[in-house]
Amino acid sequence: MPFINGRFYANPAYGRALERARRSSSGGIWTEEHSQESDGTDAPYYQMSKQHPVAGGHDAEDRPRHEEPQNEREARLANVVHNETASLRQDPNASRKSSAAVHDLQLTRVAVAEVAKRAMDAGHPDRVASSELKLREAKALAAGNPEAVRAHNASLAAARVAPGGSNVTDGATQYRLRVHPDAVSPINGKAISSHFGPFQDTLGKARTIVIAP
Amino acid sequence: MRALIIWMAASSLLFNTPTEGAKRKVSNIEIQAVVQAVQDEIYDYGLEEDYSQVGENLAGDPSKWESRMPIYVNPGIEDGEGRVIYCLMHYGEIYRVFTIRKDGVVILDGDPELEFPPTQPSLKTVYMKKGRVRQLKHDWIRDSFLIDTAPEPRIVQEASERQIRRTGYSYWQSVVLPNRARASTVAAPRP
Repeated sequence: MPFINGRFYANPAYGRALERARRSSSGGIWTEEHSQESDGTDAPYYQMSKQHPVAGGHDAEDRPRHEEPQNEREARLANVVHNETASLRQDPNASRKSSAAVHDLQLTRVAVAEVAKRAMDAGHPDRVASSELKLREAKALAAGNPEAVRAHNASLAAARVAPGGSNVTDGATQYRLRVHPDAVSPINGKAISSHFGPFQDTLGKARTIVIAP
Repeated sequence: MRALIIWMAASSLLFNTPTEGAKRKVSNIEIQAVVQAVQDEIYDYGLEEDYSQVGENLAGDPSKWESRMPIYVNPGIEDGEGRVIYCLMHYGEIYRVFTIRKDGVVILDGDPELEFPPTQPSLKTVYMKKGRVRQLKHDWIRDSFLIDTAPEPRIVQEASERQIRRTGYSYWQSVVLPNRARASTVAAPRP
């Protein structure tokens, strides 16, 4: 299924038209160059034409490049990881005395990718977040929002590591994003085997990701 | 006298102002702010039509449906966060975390577009044990919210503006209105 601007479309022409409209309505500059990008999925869709300086005086080359997923499976897993973790931020006040690994947000994304992949491979995509990006996120990516691009790139990087044989979760099949400090309550009767965080969400609230078999 | 005024002001701040990090009871004003946030999100996402034939109809007119729906609010607020259970059509009943900002504005956790999966702090109650949900609804404060299934445009507009003030984003203004404009452009006869 064609993957356009972070979303899947059964009808590629419809998808391209809708994403083109989204980009233009989100303030993106529409040029023939963009139009050509939309005809294929191998060109980074967020890039602005070099002839058009980006608002704020920054050139397009200052912006992070959005990594393109190599296939639908990878794209869907990256979207799940993004939807689960995009609200999380590294906690600047995390104790340095405790294990640095549990506070590593990228390692957390890998853990989420591993477990989400297992759930999806087992035929239970309903047990994890949607594999479609929210329109707001898709729009931010289409507009080349640097924060959105970085967050999705990080999720995609995690989605690429997980199928490669990483096993930071020791074969776990469940995770939950919880209001900190609940890192103890079991998931469906299974004791928590590891946890990551606390991280801060977009409102500055502490969140923990817990993992269980 | 001056010392008395200062003491009264200080004690007022200490004992009456909600402080973050502390456990306290939710106030009636905060419950109304939660109800407002729930209503605004429904109108902003254009979900109001899904409330037709749902709940109690207050319109008194079978052709118009103004739905009154129950909402259950956890009486405890911890670290500025609370919990609520209500029916968000068309997703069903949800258990939802909310944050009360220092200015009193309530922000609902989660996003309807993500459909409240079991992995998130805000989730559909079908992923919870029935007995626990029943107990929470029994123990929590029961209130209600109203949804007009055919609201005046002003109501939706105001809801979307409040959503922008809450989260910096309005689904209505970003998605629904542009889609309608495009649809009307396509439908308009060519000269």
